[in-house]
Amino acid sequence: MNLTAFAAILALLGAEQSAPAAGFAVTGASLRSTGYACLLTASVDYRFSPAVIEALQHGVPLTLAIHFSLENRSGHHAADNPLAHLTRRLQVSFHPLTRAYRVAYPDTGVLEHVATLTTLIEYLGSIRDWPVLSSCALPPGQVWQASLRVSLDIEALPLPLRPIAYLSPDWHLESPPYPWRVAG
Amino acid sequence: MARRRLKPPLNLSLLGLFLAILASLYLMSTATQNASHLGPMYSGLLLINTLASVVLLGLVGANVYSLSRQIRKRKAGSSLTARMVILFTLLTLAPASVVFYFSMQFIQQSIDSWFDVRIDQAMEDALKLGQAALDERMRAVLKETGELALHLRDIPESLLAVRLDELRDSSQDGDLTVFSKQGRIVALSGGQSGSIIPDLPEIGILLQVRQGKSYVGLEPYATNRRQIRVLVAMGGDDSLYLQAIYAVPVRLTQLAETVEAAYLHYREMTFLRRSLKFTFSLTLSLVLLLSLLAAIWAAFLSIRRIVAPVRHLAQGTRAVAAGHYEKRLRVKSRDELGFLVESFNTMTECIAQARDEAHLSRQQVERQRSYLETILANLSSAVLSLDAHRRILTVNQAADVILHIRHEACVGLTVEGLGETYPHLVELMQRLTRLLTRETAVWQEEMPYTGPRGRQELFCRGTSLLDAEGVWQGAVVVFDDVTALIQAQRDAAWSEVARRLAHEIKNPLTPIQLSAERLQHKLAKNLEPADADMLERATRTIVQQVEAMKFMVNAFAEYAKPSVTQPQNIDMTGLIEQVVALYPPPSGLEFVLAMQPGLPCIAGDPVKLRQVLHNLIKNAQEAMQTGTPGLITITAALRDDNRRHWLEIYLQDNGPGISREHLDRIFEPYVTSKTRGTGLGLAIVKKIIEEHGGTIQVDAQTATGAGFRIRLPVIPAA
Repeated sequence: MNLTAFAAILALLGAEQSAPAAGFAVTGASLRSTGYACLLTASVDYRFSPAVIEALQHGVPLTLAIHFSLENRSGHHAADNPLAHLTRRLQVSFHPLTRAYRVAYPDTGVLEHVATLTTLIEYLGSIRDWPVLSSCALPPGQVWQASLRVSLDIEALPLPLRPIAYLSPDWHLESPPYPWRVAG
Repeated sequence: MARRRLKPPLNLSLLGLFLAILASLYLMSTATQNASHLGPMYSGLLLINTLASVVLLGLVGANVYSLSRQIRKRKAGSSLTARMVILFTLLTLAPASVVFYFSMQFIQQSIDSWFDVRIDQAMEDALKLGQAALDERMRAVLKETGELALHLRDIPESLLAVRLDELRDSSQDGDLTVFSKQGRIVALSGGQSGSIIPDLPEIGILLQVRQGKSYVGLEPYATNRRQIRVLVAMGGDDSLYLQAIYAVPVRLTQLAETVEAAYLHYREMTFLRRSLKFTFSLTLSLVLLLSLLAAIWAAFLSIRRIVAPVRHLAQGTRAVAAGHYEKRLRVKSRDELGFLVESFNTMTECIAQARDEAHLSRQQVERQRSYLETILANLSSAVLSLDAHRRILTVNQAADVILHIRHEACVGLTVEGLGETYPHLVELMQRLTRLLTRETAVWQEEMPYTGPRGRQELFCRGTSLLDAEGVWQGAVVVFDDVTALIQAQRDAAWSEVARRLAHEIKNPLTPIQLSAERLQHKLAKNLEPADADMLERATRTIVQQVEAMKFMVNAFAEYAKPSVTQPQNIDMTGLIEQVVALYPPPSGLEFVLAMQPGLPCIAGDPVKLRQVLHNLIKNAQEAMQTGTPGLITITAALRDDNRRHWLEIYLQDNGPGISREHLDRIFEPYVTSKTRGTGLGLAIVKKIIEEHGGTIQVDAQTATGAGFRIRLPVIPAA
């Protein structure tokens, strides 16, 4: 192996190390009360791995799961009986005819179209007014903790892709839980 | 009879497990097909089957380990089990590997055959065609909307709505909306969408148009419908924008979506091509692995069950070889192996029965042998049994006393060998060999021989042992020591002689003496001096001879009369010294005494024992040659023999000794080599010693003079 090749390998390794690692992260979240519901607003940093983006652009639909929970932290066994435990799924797919990305919400049937991948990531990263509770008026005098977590649902992938997805870290995309305290 | 029950080759639990594995494999195989409703279960089934494979692998591994340990320990049946398992595994692996290889090839080739370059191109072209059609329509509506914007450019806002309706009537059927830079709707025309509120563009589109660029885009709306949104700047001072939304014809939308769906599916399949191969290969491999492992495990269980009777037989054989004839094996099957096990049980039963019978017979033989040995040990006769080679098989304890041998060391020696081992038996054994070679059935003969303690009279009887064909197989020889019997007979005869002498001879002696003295007294004075002198000599001779005969008869009478002893404790050392003191140096005798200090006392008559010593010393003195100084050595010591304590007195002189012809009968009356004396001295000595429970022997081995060994029993310590 000559020095040039060795330097090239080192450069590649360095570039790989300097590239941002794939993964999800919730960067902020809050609850806002309106007259009829308690709405969740959050920002999420989605960093898809190249393998996932390649699959998306080759027609493989991706399902993202947003997990929200609200628990009472005052008692010893409060965590066993959360006040709210919701999971919202949204499916992202690429449509070559319009060269656009479509975001579908299976629970509401809402469809959104986004022209570019950057726009898609921005769109997905901004959660606006997701109703999670009928009211933000929580029982006073208790400590409440909300938590938000997002993940890529491997089980929703096409069947042939699942074994590889389970075995490859490229497909294990899940944010750590983002907890924050909510006043009662 | 033991209850027999046939078991199926695999029990129900095993069968249930195999059915569960089969069902799981079937479900996984079905779930592998993407269209299956079992798709969501695929990961779970994959995990279950993988875990089942791991469990089975562990079971097979444990069985292999256990089998290898059994082989190392050389357990019965382990090698056979290993061979059968290897054979079964090879027989299973070979076809399975072939099927697996061709299945993999088939999967690879089948999946590859789904994809074709021409289809790829066709799909690409179809998509581009769809895009081109839509682009063409979008360009058309963009151009038309631009022209509409030019027509509306200089029209006041109050007339825009009217003009917009006119233009809409003359143009394509679309929704037209004029709005200001701030988003205020100035005019609108249409109602195609059925919505009262106009569908305004997104901020991004507005920003694009504000920069002077027109926008045209295809958007979905409603279900399976698409529309084209066009946004252009109208120009002028008021900075108004015209938005036109045209619905794409349903037919065109459907065709485009069909093309897009097919293209997407094909592109997805192309992308998943390798994953699909991997998944199918994984499923097939898992099915094969699980099946193989289950088959190998089942092989282990089945082979163990098949080999179990062989293993039990081997264990049973080892047990029988170790002497455990009670070993019985359970008969678990009625096949050939079961028959073999039954035969083994029958065989061990027969062997055990034979062993018990042999044991009983051996016990009986042992009892008889022990009985015989007890009898032989307590016999006073020496009994020897000889084999066909005249080798001694058995010899009893009495032989020690009679033949002066150690009977334990003689077993196995031949008759000739016995003579070589014990030189004093050479002559006796030669005679015995001659008698044995005559092969007479029964024989008997007197055999005197000279042993270490002098002459012994043996009476020997032999009986030949013949086998069924009459061939000589050995003999039983019995020796009886009749020395004491013969001696007793001689003693009795001499006592009778003495009694008759005393009775028949002594009585006439006194009248003879008195008659001779009377003749002397009556006739001496009537005869001539010469005749008187002759009469006096004749009379004196008669009287002297009569006196001599009286002395002889008295001596015989003394010898013959029953002994009256006055036993008392005697210190023999003192007694010997007292007797020796009576022979001072003028007597011509010199004594050498060697007494063991601290000798115990004996019970006896001191007068008689003193007579014994006197007789022996006088005997030695009389035997001395004239002019030769007499030297008598007397030793006294304690001896242990036959668990008894003896006081042994050994008396030896330096005289001419005892001739060989007198040696055997020296203690009989009138057996003497002297010219003087009665010949009763040693006979009386022997009688007195025997009256004291002791023995006296002539030492035939002494080099000079005569030696006598006296043994007297010692008083046991209290």
